[in-house]
Amino acid sequence: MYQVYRYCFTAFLVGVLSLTTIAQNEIGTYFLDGTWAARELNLTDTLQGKIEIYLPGIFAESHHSNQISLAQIVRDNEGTNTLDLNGVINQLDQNNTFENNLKVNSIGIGLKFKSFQIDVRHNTRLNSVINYPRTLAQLVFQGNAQFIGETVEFGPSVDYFAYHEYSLGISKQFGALSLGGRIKFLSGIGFLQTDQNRASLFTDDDVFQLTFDTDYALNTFNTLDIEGVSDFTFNGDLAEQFFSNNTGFGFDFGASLDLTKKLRISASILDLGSINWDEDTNRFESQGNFTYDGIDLDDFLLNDSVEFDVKLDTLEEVFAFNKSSTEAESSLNAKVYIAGQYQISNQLSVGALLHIDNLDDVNPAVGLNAQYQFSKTFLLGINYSYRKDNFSNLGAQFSAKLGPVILFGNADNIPSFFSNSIYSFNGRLGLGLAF
Amino acid sequence: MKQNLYAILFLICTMFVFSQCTNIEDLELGEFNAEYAIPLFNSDLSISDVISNRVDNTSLTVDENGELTLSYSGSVLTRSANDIFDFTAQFVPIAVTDTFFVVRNEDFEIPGSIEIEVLNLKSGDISFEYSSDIPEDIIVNVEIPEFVLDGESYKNTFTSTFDGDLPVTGGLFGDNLAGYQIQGGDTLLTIKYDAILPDGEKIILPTMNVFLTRLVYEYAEGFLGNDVYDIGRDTIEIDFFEGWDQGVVNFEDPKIRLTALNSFGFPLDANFFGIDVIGINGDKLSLESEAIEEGVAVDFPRFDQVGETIRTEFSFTKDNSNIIDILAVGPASIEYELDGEPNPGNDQSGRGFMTDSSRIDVQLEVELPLNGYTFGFALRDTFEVDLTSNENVKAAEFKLITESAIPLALDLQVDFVDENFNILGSINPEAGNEFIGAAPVDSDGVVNGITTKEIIDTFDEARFERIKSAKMILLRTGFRTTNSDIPQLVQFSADQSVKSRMGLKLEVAN
Repeated sequence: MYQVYRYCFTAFLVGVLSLTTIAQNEIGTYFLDGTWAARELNLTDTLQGKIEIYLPGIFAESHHSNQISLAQIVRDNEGTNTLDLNGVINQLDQNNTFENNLKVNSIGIGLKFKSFQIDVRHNTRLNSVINYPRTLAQLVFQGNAQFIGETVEFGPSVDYFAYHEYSLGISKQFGALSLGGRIKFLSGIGFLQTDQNRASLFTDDDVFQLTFDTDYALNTFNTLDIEGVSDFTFNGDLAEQFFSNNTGFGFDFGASLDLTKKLRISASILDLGSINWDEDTNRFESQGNFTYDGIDLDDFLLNDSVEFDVKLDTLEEVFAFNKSSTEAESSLNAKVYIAGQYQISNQLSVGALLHIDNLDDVNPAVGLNAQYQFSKTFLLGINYSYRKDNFSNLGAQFSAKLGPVILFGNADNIPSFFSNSIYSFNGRLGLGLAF
Repeated sequence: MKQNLYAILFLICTMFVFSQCTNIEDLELGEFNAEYAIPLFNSDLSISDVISNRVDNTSLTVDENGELTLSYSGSVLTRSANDIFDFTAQFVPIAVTDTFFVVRNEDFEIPGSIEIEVLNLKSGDISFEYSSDIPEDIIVNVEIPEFVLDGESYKNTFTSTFDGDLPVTGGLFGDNLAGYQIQGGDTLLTIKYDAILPDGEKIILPTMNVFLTRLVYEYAEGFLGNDVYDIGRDTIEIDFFEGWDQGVVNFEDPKIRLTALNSFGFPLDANFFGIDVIGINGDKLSLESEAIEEGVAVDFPRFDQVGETIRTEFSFTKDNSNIIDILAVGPASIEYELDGEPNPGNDQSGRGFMTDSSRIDVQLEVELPLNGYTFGFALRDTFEVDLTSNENVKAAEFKLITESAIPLALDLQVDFVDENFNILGSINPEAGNEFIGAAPVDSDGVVNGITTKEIIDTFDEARFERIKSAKMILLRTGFRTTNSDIPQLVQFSADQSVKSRMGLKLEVAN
């Protein structure tokens, strides 16, 4: 039985473990003009020097479908961070979505010529969306006794993929108008996607016989290997497979227009494209209905021996995954930014932004931004953003230029650093060299 | 400088802010309470399931009413014709000292009381060897009247020529006797010869030897003696009481059955030295019966039944023995030894026969018809268990459900024991709920319903902690045939079964 829970638990953690920090949509970074991070979101953003080296940086975002704060999940228990699960389970919806995106910018270079710019970079990216019913968390962490006499559906669905992104971008200025485009060669690192995710458990009130009903299928590459209930391997290492046979292409487009000397509008659409998983990609499928009613004691009584391994064997039967080769495709999560920026004075500027992070389910985020240039080398900005069901996002960003070194950062929900009640947080930190 | 100061100060602030971030990599699972409900075991055992899986010497028969008889068979003890009369081993060279020489049974060490009258030879050779110290040719005529083929006695003639050397020798080697019948009586063989010189004078040969070799008989007739010979001894293992702990079982009509298959053509008594029941506690009780004292007469084929096997069955029952009393102790085995006494009346005029394939097979069988009553009969058994992986258990609830269709009430005791059988804890039903009732029976002892029982026992954290180191679960089951202390006769049948299943609710906290 515990193997079942471990199994479910692991499936659940496929997404949880990919979480590096809690965040939501990236708003403030868009306004960090002159940084390679802003140029990532809109290719027409202008380089500060003729040559700029993009040093490592990281961006992570995460979103849960309802408002569960990090502090509700993690508590400081005498110096140890502990997961407080009982508290959070009751706040879950019947069905929950947990989305995580991670981007690690490893290296890149920007070249500026008279009227056009070239942008070359390597990123490692991860996208993960898990849909899971509340009952899964309840089964894992609270046990099945609360469901005696009931059938509970607990199958999670997972859409996870990670890849290396090698990109070449070019932008050109046409007077007040700048246009840019980026082509990205994508090399898959890992992939895990559920095709069918029906799994239910019925606990009989007689002597708690367990009836499992599964119609579950996973497609995966280099992420999950299942040899049995107690023998599965999860691989979340992003630092491998710099080039694999599972490839694809992506595209970014950007534009900006200086309406006046003080007013600029811009827009970009990012991550159009897909990755094909057609090499070494496996499908694990489990279908069936099985009732486990304990060890068959007849064997013991009749033969004077009983195979306790039988318990595990029967679970193997329940969750017997048939392995086969398959092909699949992951579409990139396309995003749209539309923004306007007004330069009030030499030091102060304000901006507004509309961001759509899912073209299939449009829930736009809007943000307002104000920036103050304290000196030629240091800029500080704040922004307020709104996204569905989430009003309390006060962010800040900065950029600093210390000689050739450009350091920048952004967080869209600063209070979460100091408050346990804020459930959202994102962050980016980056470094560059401009000459 | 001022410009850089802003940047440096901000960096310091930023570092402070990020230092407040939660380090998720060092995350541990916090406190939580969970309660798991799992089935532990299930069992659906019919009486025939239990018994038919037992040792090789066990059989289960079901009569037309579905009632069961459990049988434990002993080894088949066999005595063959060669064990009684090894004919080929008895013949030695015969030194014929006169022209009329008689060989009697006793001369050939045939068992003293056996008087062979007729012996049909399946194979055999006869050889003669003689010598004469008279320097003349010689003719030797031999006759053995008891060797008859097609009504004619065995006869043969040999001629020896004097060639200047003495002695004059002659003879024959390996004349085939297959098909001859030896017609004996008090006289087994008579060897007659005439040794004739050329002038007609008959002499006694100084040396005349007859060799009978490769003799194999296929039929012997006569008075085949009354020498007692050993049939053998055996022990019948009875595992019905293997897990017996205590109590009494009474079978309604048990039997110890002797079966003899006999193809010797003469009367025979099977005499028991004893039939002893060895109880599960080592007690030894002897079966007492008139048949033990006097022997059991084994039937035999008559002269018109040569080659046939006659079956004899004799049962020690409650009517002719004390079998019920001695089986009540819970037998672990039954030991017995017997011999065979041919022609027990020792009537020398009685004639019998045997063939070379004659044999007697004797087998003892214990029949336990599963009708009867038991009182306080208890079994015990163990199976391994490992509870150490169940960490942080705050409470556990064992739930046992039984549905019994057998006419036995069960007092069930489940103990968690260490490797030395020290009891660490037990599943304790509530007072008054200790036993699982027997299935109801009618006035004839026939089951006419099912008894269902549910036992729940809850362990708190301390009590569960005590049994965590248990290595085994010790099951002790006491049976009685009714739900009262008054024994009642009941009937068992093959389809009667008891279904049991146990589940466990485990409350854990981290």
